[in-house]
Amino acid sequence: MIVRVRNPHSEIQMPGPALVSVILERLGINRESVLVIRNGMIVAGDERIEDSDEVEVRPVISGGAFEVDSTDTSQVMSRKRFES
Amino acid sequence: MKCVVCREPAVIDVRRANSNFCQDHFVRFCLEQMSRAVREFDMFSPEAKILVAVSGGKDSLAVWDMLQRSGYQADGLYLGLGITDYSDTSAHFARTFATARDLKLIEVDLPTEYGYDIPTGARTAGRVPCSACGTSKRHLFDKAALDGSYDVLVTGHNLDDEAAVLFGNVLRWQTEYLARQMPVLSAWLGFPEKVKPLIRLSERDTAADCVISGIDYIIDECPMSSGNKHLRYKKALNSIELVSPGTKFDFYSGFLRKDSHLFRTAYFEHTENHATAERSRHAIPAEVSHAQPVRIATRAERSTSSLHAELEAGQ
Repeated sequence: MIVRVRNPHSEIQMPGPALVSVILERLGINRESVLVIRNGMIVAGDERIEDSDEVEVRPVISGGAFEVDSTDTSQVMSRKRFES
Repeated sequence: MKCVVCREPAVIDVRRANSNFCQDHFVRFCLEQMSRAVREFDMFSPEAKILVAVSGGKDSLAVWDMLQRSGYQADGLYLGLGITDYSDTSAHFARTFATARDLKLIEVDLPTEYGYDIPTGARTAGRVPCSACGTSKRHLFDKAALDGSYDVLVTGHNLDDEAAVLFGNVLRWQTEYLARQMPVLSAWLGFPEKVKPLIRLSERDTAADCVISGIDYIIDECPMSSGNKHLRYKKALNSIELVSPGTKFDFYSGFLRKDSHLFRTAYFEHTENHATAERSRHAIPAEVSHAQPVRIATRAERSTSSLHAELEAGQ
């Protein structure tokens, strides 16, 4: 699956299927600070994301950006940084 | 995960309320939370003429949308701050929202009308950008609300904003700021009434409400806010919220319910000093200032009387 993270922008490829909550855990992102969106719709933490899916991880904290925790990247296959 | 109302599949959980919602019931939940805050704090009447401070971000557009859907007469005010492309993009979202709903959007452009932008103003004043921006915005919001004879100025401050500010004020025991951190700031000489109807909703809630309601907002953050201390406080509070849902709400609502009155003495001393200074500056006798329009003094006087009664009763 492709996970597009906003602020800062990055695109991460990850093996699927996986629950939304697991994806966030792998990325070290606090679920309180983001929404996960697939095809324009919010998906709940227990939703299964298929390997062929693309999801957006959108931060909701106003006044700045959050950092993706890169300490646990065992499930992250590739990561590409983009200019915001 | 099922919606607690209709048992259909839920799209979002609100852990502080121990609830999950489908799209429709989540939007209703947000609307109810806003209405409850308006009622609880007597923010404005159904007939009030409301001005919403609109940034093009999720919170201000969400509150404007909720007010409109609730039948209030609410115009928007957008301030162009001259922050490079960010200001252009945020203005686009504010205009698009207003046009699509046939709402009135007042625009004030800082560089055009006042001859400076936030980056330059902050450098010149030797202040951090967020501080310079906040001061400029407050002044221009106040002016626009008074010039337009609006009854009340609405801002999109949410639970996370208020909890983070409270956290910072408590860490430094800034008692005057603690006293002013109320969901309603009464009108005073030269200041309109200001209210925060989103204090019962988190940032995650308002963002979700926008996505579900089809409201496009600026997602990218202001390039000047990086490193803002409130962001650190929000991050710290969210770390606690993750393992202890409801902490942010309990922290803020507990302050309002139990402790905020303890700090009001400092606030009223401050505002009374300000009023005295204003009277002196304009050579207005004290008895005349008491004859300011009723709307200006009512809530503050009521609160003061209540405070005096509490003090006299030794509470």
